[in-house]
Amino acid sequence: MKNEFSDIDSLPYEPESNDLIANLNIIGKKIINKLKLAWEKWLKTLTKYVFVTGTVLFVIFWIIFYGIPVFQELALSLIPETHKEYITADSKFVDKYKDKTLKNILKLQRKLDSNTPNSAYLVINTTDNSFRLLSGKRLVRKGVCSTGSYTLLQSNDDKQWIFKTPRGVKRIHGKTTYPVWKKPDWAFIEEGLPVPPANDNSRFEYGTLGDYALSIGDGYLIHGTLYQRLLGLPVTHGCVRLNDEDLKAVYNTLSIGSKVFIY
Amino acid sequence: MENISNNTPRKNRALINSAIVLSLLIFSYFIFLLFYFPIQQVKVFNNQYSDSLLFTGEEKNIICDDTLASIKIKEAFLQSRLVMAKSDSISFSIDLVDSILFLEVKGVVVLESKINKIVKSRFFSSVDNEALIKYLSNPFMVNKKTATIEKEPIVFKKAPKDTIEAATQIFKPDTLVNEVICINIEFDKNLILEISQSEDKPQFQNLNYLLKKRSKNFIQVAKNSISFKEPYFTPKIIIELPKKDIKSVYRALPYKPQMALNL
Repeated sequence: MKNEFSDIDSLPYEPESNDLIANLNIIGKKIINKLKLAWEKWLKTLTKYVFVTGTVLFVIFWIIFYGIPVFQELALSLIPETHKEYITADSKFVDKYKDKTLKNILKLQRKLDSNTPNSAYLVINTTDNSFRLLSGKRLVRKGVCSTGSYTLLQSNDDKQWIFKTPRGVKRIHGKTTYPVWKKPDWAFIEEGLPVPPANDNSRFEYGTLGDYALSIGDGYLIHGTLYQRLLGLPVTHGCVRLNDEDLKAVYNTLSIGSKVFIY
Repeated sequence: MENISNNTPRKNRALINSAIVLSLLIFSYFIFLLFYFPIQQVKVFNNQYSDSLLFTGEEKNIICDDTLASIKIKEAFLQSRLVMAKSDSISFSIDLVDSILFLEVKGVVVLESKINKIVKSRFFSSVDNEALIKYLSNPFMVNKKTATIEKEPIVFKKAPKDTIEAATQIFKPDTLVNEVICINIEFDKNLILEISQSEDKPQFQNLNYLLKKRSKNFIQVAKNSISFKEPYFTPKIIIELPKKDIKSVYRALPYKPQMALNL
């Protein structure tokens, strides 16, 4: 291996020269030039390798991430078309068969439509925090609501509550005017308050739930709210909150047994 | 000694050449399999779903016609939806003919979303109509779902010690989140459904999701190439929906939902 800097030794030494600094300058310049040349050579090689490796990697990645689906779909275009635009069968049989299928489609569609209640029902979207009040396929009213916050509350004695609105089909179990909220244990724990005995006065709150409440089972209610500005946001403990006008309309339209679809 | 030193570069060159040839051979084999797998999968599909009992000889002949087949597919789609209506869980149906996605609870459509873009694999036009009708006549069961958003955005909250700490814990939902929503759903009947938002989606915001999704296909193809097992190709359907609808659908669906499909 040839030393890159070995030429420094062979520089002419001029003892008779009075200007030592000038000589040192020349040596310095030569070293810099050598270093510059070595750096350029190294950079050139590096660029070449980076370019080649980069291209190879790009091709591999392209094949893995984009090429495979492209090639596979391309392969399918090589298969001859199996579908025909003509029928070799007897045309009477074809018509009969077609009519039979169309009749069955109508029957199936009717059967499917029969699942939709003819009476009023409520559809609640817990992601969008919106509701639609419908009667059959007719929209009666729509608006915003508030549903479960998805908060998982853990008490100091490791009890847990998750505040989410249950999904699926529910029914109206009961209707109340001027409901009173009997605060459960988690309401006190969440506020950092000691939990009172079961029927303690502090458990009963008036006016918090609005003018009406409709029970959908398992302790979940559709009720009003004091926090109207939070409607449209997921902030409840699982109940569905509506504004005063919407709540009144829902209360007056739905009867006990009416369906509530929550998704 | 001189002979050995002369042979070394030649040996190295031969080794490099062999490595290159071997790599090219493996690469060519891999590319060949990329073409072979989908073609073979069509044959497997036709054998698996062609049921001699479902159609008579003449019926088999006439359903080769695409117009009649589309009526039969519609019938199969409605049958699937009726099967799903019997179950208590939330399900969804995709009608690619009318470009609509339905979210259903016990057969009642609670959300209807217009599909803005459809990309369908050529696989479905390469298979026999008879097999396709059988394939679509029962609901698809979801095997695995991956998404760029959380299914349940749970917020953990430790019970406060007192009212002062409780005041600092008031839950404020984040309304300014700018997320890109994509869902990848794998079904039991060898189908992948990809739902992405129709709004602008920066390509590299969900790099992790993209890399996972893309590399999965490669890994599967590579695995099957090495093991000489059954051909691997999963047809894919890509649809685009409004962001808020995807979110509602994804959050509403249970962990193993069912789907009906009309192609």
